Amino acid sequence: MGLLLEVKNLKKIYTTRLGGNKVQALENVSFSVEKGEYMAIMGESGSGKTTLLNILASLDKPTGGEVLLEGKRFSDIRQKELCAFRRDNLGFVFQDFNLLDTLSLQDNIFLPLVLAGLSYKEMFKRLRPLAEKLGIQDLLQKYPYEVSGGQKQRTAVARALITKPKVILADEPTGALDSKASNKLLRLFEDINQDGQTILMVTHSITAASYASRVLFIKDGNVFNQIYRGNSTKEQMYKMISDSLTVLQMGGDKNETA
Amino acid sequence: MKQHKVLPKLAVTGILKNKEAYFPYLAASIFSVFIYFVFASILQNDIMRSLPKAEYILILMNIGLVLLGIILVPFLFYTNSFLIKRRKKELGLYSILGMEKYHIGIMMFYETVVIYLVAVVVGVIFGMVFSKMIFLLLLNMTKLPVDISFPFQIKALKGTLIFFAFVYFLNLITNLLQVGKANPTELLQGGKKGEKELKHLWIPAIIGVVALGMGYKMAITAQIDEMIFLNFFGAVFLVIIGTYFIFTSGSIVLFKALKKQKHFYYKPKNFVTISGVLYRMKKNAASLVNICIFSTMVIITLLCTISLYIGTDEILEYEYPCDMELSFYEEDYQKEKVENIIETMKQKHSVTIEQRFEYTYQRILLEQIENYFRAIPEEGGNSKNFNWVKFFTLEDYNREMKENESLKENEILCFSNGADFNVSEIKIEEEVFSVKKELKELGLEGKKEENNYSKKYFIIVKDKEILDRITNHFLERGATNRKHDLLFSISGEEKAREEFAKEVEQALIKEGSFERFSFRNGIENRDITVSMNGGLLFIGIFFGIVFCMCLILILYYKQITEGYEDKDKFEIMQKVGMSDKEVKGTIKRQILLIFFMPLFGAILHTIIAIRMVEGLLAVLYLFNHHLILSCTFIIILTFSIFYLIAYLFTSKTYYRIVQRRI
Repeated sequence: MGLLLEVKNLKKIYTTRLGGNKVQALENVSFSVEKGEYMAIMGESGSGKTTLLNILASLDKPTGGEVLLEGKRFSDIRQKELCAFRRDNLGFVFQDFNLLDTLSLQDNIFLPLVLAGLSYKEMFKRLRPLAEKLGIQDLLQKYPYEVSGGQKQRTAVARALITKPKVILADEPTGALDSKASNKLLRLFEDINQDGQTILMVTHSITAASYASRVLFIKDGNVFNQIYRGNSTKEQMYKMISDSLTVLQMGGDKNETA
Repeated sequence: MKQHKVLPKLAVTGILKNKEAYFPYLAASIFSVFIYFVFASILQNDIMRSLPKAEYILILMNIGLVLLGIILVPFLFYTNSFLIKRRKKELGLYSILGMEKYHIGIMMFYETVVIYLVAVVVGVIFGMVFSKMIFLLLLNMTKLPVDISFPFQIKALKGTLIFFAFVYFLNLITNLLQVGKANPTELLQGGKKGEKELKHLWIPAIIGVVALGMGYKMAITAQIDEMIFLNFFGAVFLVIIGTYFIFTSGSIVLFKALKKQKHFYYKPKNFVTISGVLYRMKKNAASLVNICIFSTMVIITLLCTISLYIGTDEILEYEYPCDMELSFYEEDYQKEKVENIIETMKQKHSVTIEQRFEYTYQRILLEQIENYFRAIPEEGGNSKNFNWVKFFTLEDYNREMKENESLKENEILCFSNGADFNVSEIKIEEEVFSVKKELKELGLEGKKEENNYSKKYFIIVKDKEILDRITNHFLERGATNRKHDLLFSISGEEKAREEFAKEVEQALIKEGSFERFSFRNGIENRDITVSMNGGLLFIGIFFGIVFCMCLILILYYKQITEGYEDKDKFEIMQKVGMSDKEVKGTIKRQILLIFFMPLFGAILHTIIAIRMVEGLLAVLYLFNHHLILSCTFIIILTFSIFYLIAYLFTSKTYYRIVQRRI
């Protein structure tokens, strides 16, 4: 499997609007993601997770370092093309779903395709199997405010998948869901990952992270630790993650576990 | 207790923290107080009572003040309800932090008091500074004698204080009720509630189209007669209903139909715009209806009052071709006595008499069917066809007009103060007369081709014998006693002319032998018309300004609401892969569509209403098609520019809210 995403020496410093105070969100983050990998990024609030994700999403620019997708530097993409790039290569799933209340679920899923200028026949062709897989085929004509959180999140997943993105970026996707809906979503992620979809997920939840094939821990703007799942079961993975978190929270030196 | 210090402070910070929402409200309040106080000051002013011919203005101003109250109460109420919706979250937070409802109530009370005080104090100060200027403006517009003194009116102040205390008390009560009803979590959630899909929208949509169609038809086909006012209000009512339903349902039905056109809908530009507009329409239709109706009102009010004001000279020329019109019954008329009085007064006031006409005529109310005139049928008939016809002899005509016409037995001359007869024969009962000539002017009466409303006809017959014969046809049916009229204009000093006219009237009354004479004093009546039309314009402009203020505020608050709602959408669209430019373009298209729909509606309403406005003005003797059309054009243009500026101004706030730093 080839390298899909490379992150090299990322650095991000925020300057408050009135000048003066500088906040370092990312100090030096490097890692890479292979095609078909399912990676979770964990860390405490303020550790820099969200900043990292925003940079990976090309929504924010790093102060130093670079991000490459299939060898292409983000910084080489012109501002104008950035949107199209994002649309064609990245799929997003957010904690608060980010569905437009103005659109029916079907149209929400279509949104990126419409923007890309696809014919509506093609859109329907892509939608049908996807909706079935996600179990939302009966809800397509409803509006976001008419359905449950889990259904909203599955719609958001459909929207992310319909463009056939290279990588799915998920920001706390289970954060607003109850445990039942969470589990359903995580199984779904596992499922689509087995179909070959690369997923990168930022999360707080150990359960969510235990589904991943690799977990990256971030602390104070640096990669603190990484856990590879290898052949471990979910339960073993859960234990490893929670141990790592304990170390992380107690404070300790960087170390790597294979 | 400490809370009595904290709460007022919280109230003030509450206002300052929400200045985006509160300052416009405060500004509108100040302006309302200002206008109200100025109106009240002018009304309460003793000078107003002592000015001659100011009675009508006083009545107008009184009506104006009442209308102002009627408009301001719901308007301030509306803005307040908007504010309280915005602040629910903050109040919820206070409540969670341990404030009891009682405390929140007290805080709201302080807040209301602060707003009331600021509005009243600033408004009244502005009022005191500018009321004199505005009063002079009024005097100038109404051509009333200018009086410099304009003392401060304590009564006006009292009235203003009480009125606004009432308004803010009402607002406070609503706020307290709102807070009382809600629990903290509800308050925290603020206005966010889902929307139910409405069904069977086509029913109200059809009602809207039908009502608007009927209203428009009424406006277009309206006849100029005594029913015009009734028709006008009927049409206004129908158009308002129609506008309401079309905006609330019709637009949604239309956009839904567009949505069904898949090829059209699933295009990048249409997709987000249509769904966005659809969503907005559901939420904003009622406000948009208000904006549309307000705009129409501003345009029509200004159109009527400005046309009337500009056309005043024309109206007067038509209505009063001579300064004085004395009308006697022929049997009462004593030439020497009247001449004597006029002569004496002439010398007393050193004025000269010009354009003197004196003639005897037979006046009959007849039913006209094309060129056939007959007595009004016993069973009634269509009063639209009833016209006064004045018959008089060629002898009077030749003498008074210094003409030298001759007529045969069956020939007549005729004159209409409206459209020409344009016939070669006129049939009166069973007698047929051929029209030798249709006169284009007759010194004692003006002529306006466009006059279709209050037509008067003059028919000149060969001699007294024929006059008698015609009279005999109608002796029992419509003919009044024969009359003798004296019309003339007066030249001399303004004051002398006025005095002269007045004293002639008094002397004639004193003389006593002319029991049933009527007297039309053009000099005085003209002044009254001038001051009336000026007063109407004054009120029209002020109401225009007040309506515009309401409009800006509604626009502003709508933009804020939209802004906060769109902020999230804006972000989502960007995350999903829309470029900044695309998002801005989409939002611009939506907002333009939404905010210019009311303006478009208002312009359409106005254009349809032109005929009716002309009818209304015709009743007031203004028959100037070109004047009214050009006024319409200029007012629509000016208003559109104003609307555009108001829109740009308010949309700044919108973009400030929506804009996201990247």
